[in-house]
Amino acid sequence: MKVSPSEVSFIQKGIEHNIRTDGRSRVDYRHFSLESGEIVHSNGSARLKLSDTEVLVGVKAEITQINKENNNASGNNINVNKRLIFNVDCCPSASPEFEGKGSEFLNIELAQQLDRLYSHPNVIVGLYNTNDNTKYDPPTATTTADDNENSNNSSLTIVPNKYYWTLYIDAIVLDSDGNLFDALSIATRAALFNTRLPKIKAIQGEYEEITFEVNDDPFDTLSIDIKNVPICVTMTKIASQFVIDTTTREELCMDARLTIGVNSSSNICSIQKGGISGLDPPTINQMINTAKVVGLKILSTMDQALLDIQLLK
Amino acid sequence: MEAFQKIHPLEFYRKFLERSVRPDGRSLTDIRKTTLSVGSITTCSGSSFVKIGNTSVVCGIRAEVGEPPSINQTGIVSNQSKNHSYIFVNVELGPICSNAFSSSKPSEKAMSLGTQLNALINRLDIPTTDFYFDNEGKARWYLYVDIYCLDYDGNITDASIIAMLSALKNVTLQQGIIVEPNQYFKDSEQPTRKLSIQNNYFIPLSFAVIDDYILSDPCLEEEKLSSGQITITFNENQEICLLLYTGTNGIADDHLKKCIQLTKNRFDFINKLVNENNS
Amino acid sequence: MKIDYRSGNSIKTQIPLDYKEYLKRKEDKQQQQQQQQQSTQPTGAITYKRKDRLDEQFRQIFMKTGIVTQASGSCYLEIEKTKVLCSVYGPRATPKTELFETAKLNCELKYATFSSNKEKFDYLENTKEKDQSLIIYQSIIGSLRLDKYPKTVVDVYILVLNDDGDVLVSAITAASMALADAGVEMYDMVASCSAVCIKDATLINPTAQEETLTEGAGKILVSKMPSHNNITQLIQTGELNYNNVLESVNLCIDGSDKIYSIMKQNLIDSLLRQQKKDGDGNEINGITTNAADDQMEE
Repeated sequence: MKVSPSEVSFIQKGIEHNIRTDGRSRVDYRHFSLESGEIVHSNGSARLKLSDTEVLVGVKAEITQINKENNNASGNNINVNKRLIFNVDCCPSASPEFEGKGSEFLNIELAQQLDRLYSHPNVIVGLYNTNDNTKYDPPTATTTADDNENSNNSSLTIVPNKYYWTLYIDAIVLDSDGNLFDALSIATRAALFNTRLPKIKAIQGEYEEITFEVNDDPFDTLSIDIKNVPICVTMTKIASQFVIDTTTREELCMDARLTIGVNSSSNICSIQKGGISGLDPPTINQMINTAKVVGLKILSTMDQALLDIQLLK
Repeated sequence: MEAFQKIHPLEFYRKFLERSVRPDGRSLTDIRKTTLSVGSITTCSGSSFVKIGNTSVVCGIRAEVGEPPSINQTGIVSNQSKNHSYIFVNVELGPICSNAFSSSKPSEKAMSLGTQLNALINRLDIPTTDFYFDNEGKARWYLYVDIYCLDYDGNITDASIIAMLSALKNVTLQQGIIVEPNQYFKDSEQPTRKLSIQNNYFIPLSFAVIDDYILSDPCLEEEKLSSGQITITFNENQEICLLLYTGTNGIADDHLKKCIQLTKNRFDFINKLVNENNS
Repeated sequence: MKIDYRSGNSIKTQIPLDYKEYLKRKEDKQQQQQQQQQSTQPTGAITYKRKDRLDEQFRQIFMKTGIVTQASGSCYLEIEKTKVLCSVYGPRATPKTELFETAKLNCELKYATFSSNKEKFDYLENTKEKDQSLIIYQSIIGSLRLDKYPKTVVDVYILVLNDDGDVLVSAITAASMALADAGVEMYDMVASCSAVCIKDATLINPTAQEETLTEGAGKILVSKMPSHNNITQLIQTGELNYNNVLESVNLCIDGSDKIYSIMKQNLIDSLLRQQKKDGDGNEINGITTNAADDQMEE
């Protein structure tokens, strides 16, 4: 997609006057709708529709064994300690630019952005029983410490120092009308909220081998506490102003963008700059500040909506 | 003059060669300035940096531990273990060193050079006990030799061989402890050791054949113009251990003899260079 | 193209840890856990003090331009043990028949297999290289006047020889120097600086050890064009509060100004050197002598 110079000027002037082509002001968000639990075979899923932008996120939980060999090989291997693994795929149907290898770098950029957003070890603060909303205590290490990091998202522990849940988070961009970063982060958060982990009992066998007993009651499961899970807000600089929630057309006239991750305790979880031209430090301060306000607002509306969904079910 | 060089590079060269001199001021047998430094990379067990004229390569060796395939009970030093290789060489000619190479596919040149070096290094007579990780040799050290070319201006073979050898001499290995099967630890209280290749080195020299002239240590331009290339490598007993000729035309007997003599002359220099840097 | 360097060996191998270090780590862990049981302090709050330099102090930086003769421009950069080489090819014609109004910039970062003593090279490593290439690309593209070279490509290749922390900063700085050395028109050079935020300190120019002190520690990278006071790249990871972010960004901005002055001085020096060399060369009728080269070596 390309825009003509006159179109660019039209969009820029509109933004200067605080009115955008679709009638929004600079800090207005488009309406979005969330659906969850669409993918039956995944542990959790969510679909977000933000105007024409549509993303689908699925969460698949797998049991990972931390074998000593790996651990030994590379003391601090990131791979071993990672509990959340992201993968983003932009469908060629969303935009002709995603065809072939066109989306290769965008996929990596989007996945890495999510990865940065969840880079803090305490993103997932805990699990709770889906039935009665009581806190679930994961088994903690009682034996002597081993050399792996069990502080990292420790709530996903099954057997301390041995088995953990690894969440594979796969996102697909089905249709694109701008603001992919934010859409993905919101959908991921919703998908995590929707995730149900089966209760697992580990049984120590005779020869140190461990067998699992999976509770097959579909209602007696564990949910993830998303209190600390951040979302991101992208501030896009067009002309001399910055706007949120851009459409594809607006993104084509952007000078630079700043994607800022915010969580509910109003901490900044990640920042990533994109786009060709630079930004001056005062603008960056302003952007972070605005992003914080907007982010908190989205988070509170979202939490309310998610609670409603849960009550309905 | 520059235009002449661009349009008729071969003619341009011939004009020089007739007077037994090369455009960069060297005579036909002159070798570019060769420098060597070792141990500059701290993240690996042994490393070296070699510069021949503008051509520069860096070589790093990663030492890793593994269990050799089942050792039979009769003894560790069997004929089979002799053939078992502990050193693996890999050459990378990336786009960083010259615009002749692309990043999307590995160059044939790098692969063929890698194969040659692999063959060469496994002829080295290093006692198997040198690779022992623990005392009994249940686990062994395996060395991965990676050679990266940083600047490609001809005669990469010589540079790679010298780099490989001096990096290998720079390798320090630590005695280790096996706590459980598959759990290996270095024991920093034990003394480190070097590989005993004190009397094994390779002295390489490459030549380019242009018309009837033999040019030692060719630069990139000369390699491009040449009709054939010769690489000769001596071992410490002044015996030939690698002789390579690629080219469409045959090569005269006395030419080859001359090349061998030239390589012999290089012997003391390389010998000194490698030893000085590894003392 | 990354070839698995282990592929030649049929035996599975691994890098052994140091036994002493292993024992020490085990002990530390135990102590930490005991403390955790006694008090309910949040985990990951490690106090760390730098021994040899101040928190906002840089390590020694060395850079030299023009060392890859085959390339249009190149730069070798050392921040103590971190060693990076960058070469720039172009602006050159592209085999693709597409028409670009501006030049295309390609950026490729690669780690040498022996550059790090910890991590294994695998698939994830590969995405790390691509991600970092993208960060570098975004950092430098804003500084270049690519519209001056329509229908061409500028290729930037970076090789990390030794990784001892702050690789991205080294790579961005080296890339910008190499582009300047290649004579690609630009608004300004890009200087860059990064910091690690731990509990009670912000460490500028961290070493590899400092980068991995705590998992998910706050990390900030800033790159900017100082004479425009324009920030071309800003990356942050880990949870930090608003004031912390601003503070560290400001520290990094100051840091990149320092790097910038070193870059500028270096470029001037290399130009003087080149001028001198050219002068010498002309006297002996175009044939560059070894004498001039020797002088350069010194």
